[in-house]
Amino acid sequence: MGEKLLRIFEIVTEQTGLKGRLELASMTGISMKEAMTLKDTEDLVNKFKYAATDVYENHRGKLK
Amino acid sequence: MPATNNIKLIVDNKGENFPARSGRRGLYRWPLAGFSLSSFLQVIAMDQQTCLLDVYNPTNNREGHFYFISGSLYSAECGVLKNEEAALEMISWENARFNIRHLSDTANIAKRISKNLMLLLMESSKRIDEKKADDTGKAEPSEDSREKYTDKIASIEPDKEGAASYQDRYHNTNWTECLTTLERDMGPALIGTAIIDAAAGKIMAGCHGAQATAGLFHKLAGSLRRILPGGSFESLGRYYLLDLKSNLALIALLFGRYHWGIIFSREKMELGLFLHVIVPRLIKTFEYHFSSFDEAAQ
Repeated sequence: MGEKLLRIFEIVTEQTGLKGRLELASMTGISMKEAMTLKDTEDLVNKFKYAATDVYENHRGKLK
Repeated sequence: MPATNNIKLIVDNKGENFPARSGRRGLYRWPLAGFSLSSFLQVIAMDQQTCLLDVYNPTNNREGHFYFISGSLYSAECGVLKNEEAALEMISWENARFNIRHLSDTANIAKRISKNLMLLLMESSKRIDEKKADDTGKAEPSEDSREKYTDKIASIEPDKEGAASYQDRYHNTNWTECLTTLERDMGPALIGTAIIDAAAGKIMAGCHGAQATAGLFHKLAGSLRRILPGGSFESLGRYYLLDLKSNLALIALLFGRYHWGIIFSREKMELGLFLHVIVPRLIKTFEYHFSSFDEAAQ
């Protein structure tokens, strides 16, 4: 359960650090711990994918 | 075993005198190691512990202390650094060792750190990231790493078992097709885009700052609905266009309840080319992907 969501959290953390991870949790309203208990539904995974893209873009923007 | 129990075991070493920092005695003095300080601080805060957390950095032989009262970080010390600056410094330490002690007399400890722990952790994380960026001399991640990141994220597919309905899956594939066409045609001129369901207040798809773009278009749709006759967008035709500051433009393509919002740079995209070539193609793409399904669904 939540393996895909967890993987997205891992990729985001890898690239943007703890701050990115917290941003992802705040944008989706779901913490990493909570994600482990959820099903990887299409809606949720897509929501996380969009949010992950935004987190990365924000991170890039702040570095510029 | 709950985290609280672990901590109770550890604080039983109060009153011990541990002068040495290294060697066998050092291991007793700093019995906890192997996990990140930020995680440990969160556990203390969550468990609402009242304790003194000693931290030792074997890399530079420095040590410091965090004072927690009922899970709230009251103050911190690290050499000449005090409170917030001391906390930020210690949070950034890697491979630190710890010890927890009882704080029996809390009356003399004043609350000198106003920021909550989460804000401090975020601030510290930001500083570490900035330092890393400076150290590597990179102002921003390369296009290559961006591509790899996007590929990694895109390759994650949801479970078949937990997949949404046929209708949702059909639409998700087609939203992606629409966005791919837009990204290909606009190139670097594209600032942000989102397809929203203005009636349901939902974001259906998006990329390049989709959340912010969607938020903006939801607000615009709400404001327009209030001033348009009968709250209908029909009188606006196929789209509306706004000229924004900083040489940006915003266009919303209207497809009934769906609004496809696009923000782009006018410096990088000629308005004539956009309106006469790209917009017709986007409308055609959207209608091609959605008309057959909508007809079938009716």
